[in-house]
Amino acid sequence: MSWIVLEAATEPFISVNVWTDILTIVNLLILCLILKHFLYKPVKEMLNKRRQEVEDTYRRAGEAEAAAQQTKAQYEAQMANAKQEANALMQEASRRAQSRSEEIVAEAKQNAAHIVQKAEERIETEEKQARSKMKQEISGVAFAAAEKILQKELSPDDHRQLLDDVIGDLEKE
Amino acid sequence: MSGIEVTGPKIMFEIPILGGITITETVVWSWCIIGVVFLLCLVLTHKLEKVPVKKTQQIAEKLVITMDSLVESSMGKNHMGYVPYIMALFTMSLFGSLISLLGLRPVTADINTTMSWAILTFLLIQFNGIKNKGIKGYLKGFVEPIPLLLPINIISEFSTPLSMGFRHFGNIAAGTIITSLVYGALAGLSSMVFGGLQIPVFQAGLPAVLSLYFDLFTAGLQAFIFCMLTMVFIANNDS
Repeated sequence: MSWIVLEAATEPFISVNVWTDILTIVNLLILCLILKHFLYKPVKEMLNKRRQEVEDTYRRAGEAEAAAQQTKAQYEAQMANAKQEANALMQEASRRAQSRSEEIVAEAKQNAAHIVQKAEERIETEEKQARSKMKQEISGVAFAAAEKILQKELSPDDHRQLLDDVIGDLEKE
Repeated sequence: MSGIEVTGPKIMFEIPILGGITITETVVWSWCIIGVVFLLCLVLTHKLEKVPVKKTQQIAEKLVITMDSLVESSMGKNHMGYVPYIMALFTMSLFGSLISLLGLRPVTADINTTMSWAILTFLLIQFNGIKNKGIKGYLKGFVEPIPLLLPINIISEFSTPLSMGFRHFGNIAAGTIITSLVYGALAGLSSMVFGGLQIPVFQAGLPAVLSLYFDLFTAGLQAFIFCMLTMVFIANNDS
């Protein structure tokens, strides 16, 4: 029982000691300053710093998101553009191919027609040639045959008469 | 009851200037508390980091945030400058009462301590009143709602710190007295049972339960009440 004191001087239970009062107030103010400078202020500063950082982080995240959105929109626009371009290219290519194929077909037809024409011309010529050759041979044969049959010299007039008759018969056939 | 004597704090020493400055237990234990709190502050705020990993920092933050929200809720945002003062008041009051657990005389069981604090609170109330209402409005407050109430208003103004100081002192001092009375009674009972032999058997047990109430509960409650009243009365003089 520490406060039951017999030897040492004690204050009365209720008394006013001005020095105690003054020192108590001074002590409280000192404690106040200590708490302010060594606990309240550092912790408060740190909390503010942390809040600042959190805010910064959120702000940066927002900015990054906005940038990403922008990039995405840009990218999508580009993609749409590219698709359009590709479509145009495809269309152009197919159109070109179409026209080219038409050209080729037309050319081929023309060529074929030309070949056919040439062939016909050639057939005609050959026919003519064959016809005149045949005429000559026939006239030769006829002439020889007539000569043999008659076994006599004909006068040039008879000769021509005879020849014409034979040819005329042949032609009639 | 022999040996039980209700006294004030011991006089530890005297500084022989200005007609002798007597330094009582109260003041010495206050200094010790300041020292301990100072060390605690240093430990708690050692290497603060933005990302708290240490328990000490979490405790420090919790203390500051709790004190902040307490002051904000009872005084308002424009009185946040009072936080360190309220903190100091609470710390000194709580530790001042709790040192009784170490067998020391509580700082708050000295009427000089609690009354000094009450006077400080009183001065702050008046200061805040003058600051917010102006000297004219402040003086006018004493004759409202009718001038007849002037004496009552003045009495009520002075009764605030008186009641605060006596309440705190009374609670802690009474606890101390009751505890020692019970000790004395139990010692008497022990010596009666064992025929004059001083074997302290009955002193074990009951005082511990009483101490739980008088030392821990009352200490915390009175510190809280004193701070709450200080805050409420200071902020009351706002409008």
